[in-house]
Amino acid sequence: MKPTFSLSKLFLRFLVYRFAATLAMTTMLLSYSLSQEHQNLVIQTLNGNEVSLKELTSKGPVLVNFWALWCEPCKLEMKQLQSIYNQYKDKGFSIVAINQDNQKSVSKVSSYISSQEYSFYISTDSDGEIAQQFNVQNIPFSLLFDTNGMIVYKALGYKPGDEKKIEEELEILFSTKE
Amino acid sequence: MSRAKKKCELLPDDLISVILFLLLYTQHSLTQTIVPSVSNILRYGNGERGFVGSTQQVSYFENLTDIRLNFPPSVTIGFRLLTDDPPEIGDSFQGIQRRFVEFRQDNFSLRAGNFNEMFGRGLALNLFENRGLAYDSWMDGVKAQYKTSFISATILGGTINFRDSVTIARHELYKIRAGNIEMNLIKGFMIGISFVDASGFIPQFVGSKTIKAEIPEIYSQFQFSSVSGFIGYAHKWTNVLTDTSSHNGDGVYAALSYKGKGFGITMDYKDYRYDILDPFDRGASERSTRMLPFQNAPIVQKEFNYTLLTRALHQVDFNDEVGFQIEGYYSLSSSTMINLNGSIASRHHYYDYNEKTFLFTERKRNSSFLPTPEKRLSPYWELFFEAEHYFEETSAIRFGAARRENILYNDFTGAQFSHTQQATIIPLQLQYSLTQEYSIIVQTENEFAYDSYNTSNEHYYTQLLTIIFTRSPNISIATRYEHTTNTADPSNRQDWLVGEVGYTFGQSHTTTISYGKERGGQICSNGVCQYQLPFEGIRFSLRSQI
Repeated sequence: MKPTFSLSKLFLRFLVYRFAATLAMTTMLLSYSLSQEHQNLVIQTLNGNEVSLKELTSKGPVLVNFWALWCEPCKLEMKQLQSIYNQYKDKGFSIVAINQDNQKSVSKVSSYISSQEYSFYISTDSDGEIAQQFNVQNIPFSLLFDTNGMIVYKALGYKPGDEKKIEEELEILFSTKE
Repeated sequence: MSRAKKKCELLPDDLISVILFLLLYTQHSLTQTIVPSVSNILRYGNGERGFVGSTQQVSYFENLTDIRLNFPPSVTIGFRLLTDDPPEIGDSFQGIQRRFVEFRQDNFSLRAGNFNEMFGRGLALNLFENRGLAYDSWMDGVKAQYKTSFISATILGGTINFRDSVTIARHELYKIRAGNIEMNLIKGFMIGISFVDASGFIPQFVGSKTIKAEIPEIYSQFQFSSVSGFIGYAHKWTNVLTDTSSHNGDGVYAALSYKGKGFGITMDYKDYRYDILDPFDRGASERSTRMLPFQNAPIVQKEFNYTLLTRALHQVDFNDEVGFQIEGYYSLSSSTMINLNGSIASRHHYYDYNEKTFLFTERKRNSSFLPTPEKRLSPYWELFFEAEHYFEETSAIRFGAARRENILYNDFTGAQFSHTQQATIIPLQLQYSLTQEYSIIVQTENEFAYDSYNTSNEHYYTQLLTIIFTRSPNISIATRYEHTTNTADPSNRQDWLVGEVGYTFGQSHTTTISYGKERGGQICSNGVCQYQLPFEGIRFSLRSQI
């Protein structure tokens, strides 16, 4: 096999230009916070209850996590998230896990959650409307909001051990609060 | 239509980038009010792809940037900048592929531009995008919604320019007007009704057809204590204006779930009769009376996360298929879980071939509302079992077994020349945490397959071995090796080996580079799962979520 390997100047220009533009947007986003549309977001949980993101952040840090049944790293991560939730829920910490299964698998979500006995908030988003509001392209994807609605941590993908970073951020948040 | 390059008609994409750069970086007053979010996917590949005796040089470059700008309190502007040239699949594109303006106030929202939408479970309308399969049925138009805890109402109108993901040069054009209302009559009980009115231009192999279709739908969803369910019915009336013929079809989908402490069980049922035809006519995938591309109902089959199982044996025929699926999850303990799944599907009726007249006669089956394993009705069934056990906090072992069979009955010749495919797949995965930061995953999938159309070797064996080494949170190193004894694989290969390195930086930027031969399927690498097409060469991707 002989892959032809030619990086033209045009390709390099696109790479550098595109990435520079994206990073430039990032540099001034030092204080990305809950936008108005996120603050007004009311999510319906599997139990039929409604939770407001703004209301949750007023009580404590909130982790918003996007996952799906077909995504093995997502399911690995959720097991660790339950442990973190158990540890910090009494301090006001909340988790909202937004399922991204479409119409093919969404009917199985409640069965899976029940078998795992996850106790944090679970919501379905089979038409991807909530994912679009957060501009989610890949999963698992997590955002940790502090009580001011500011993002203090975000993670794309999951590797075993990544949950320690979430714990570290929560320890910082709770120690700062004290 | 040839694979011609499409360019944005408004501005060159470089100039758009400059404008964005200036707008978002230099305008300090604007940054105080605009809340932006950006996601970017950059993919590059250079290599080749083999198919049925030939090898094709393949090179692709894709950069997809989705931007949302929220102008408090009520307005959001969004757009997608796409450079897909040369494309991995489909048409080339450079410029603004999507754009929208959205206004939200209290319970009301109004969106103009590109959008997706699903009514119920997609029997009448399900607009979505799957870039890995080159499927995009997003609409360009206007959508208005009003949502409260009691009622949700949606009206929309616009056009869909749908590219056939198989014959990518072929485009179908639809003009749609649709509405949907959902009412929560009492807590835990919802009823919904939809209506879709569509006119379409559908190219055929010779000429084209214009159609008018009307699709009313009714559905209900309930949840009482441990039981929840859904049932929906849609009817499709199609008037083919080109030849003044009309056609009726319908579809039913239902789901029932029961959950308790540590377990849950779900049963799905489908009865799709959108376009039941005899064997002569059912093979025409471009026919105008079929289920239309803006409809996408549940497939009632399991979505697997093991690579070999994601290579589906069975393509769901939404025009003529009945079936059901049962899936159960059970936790033996807090560290051990079992998953069981079974599904079966088949056609509705028999077709008897008359060798003198060369015509088929339909013979209706009384129990056509149920699937059957009878070979004459092209059945498909699969059984799946998986057990997962965590022996440490982040160390686990997973064992599975799947058996599936697909029969495509040849109504012309009978059982002798029907296509039978069978497979037994045994996956095994060991995930072990060496330390708090370092872990290793070893996964093997073994397939014992039979294919009656494989004249070289009907019985063959395939093994996939994956080894992933990770260092949280930054590094992932993986290798995948696949070997098959099938000498008639369309890629002309029997071995595939790929090495991959991934690095995560800045919390939400993930870059992956791989080199080697990839057979394709659902691949989980560097902490993210995605569908990959077969490829041999070097690949690079950068995924950013800002």
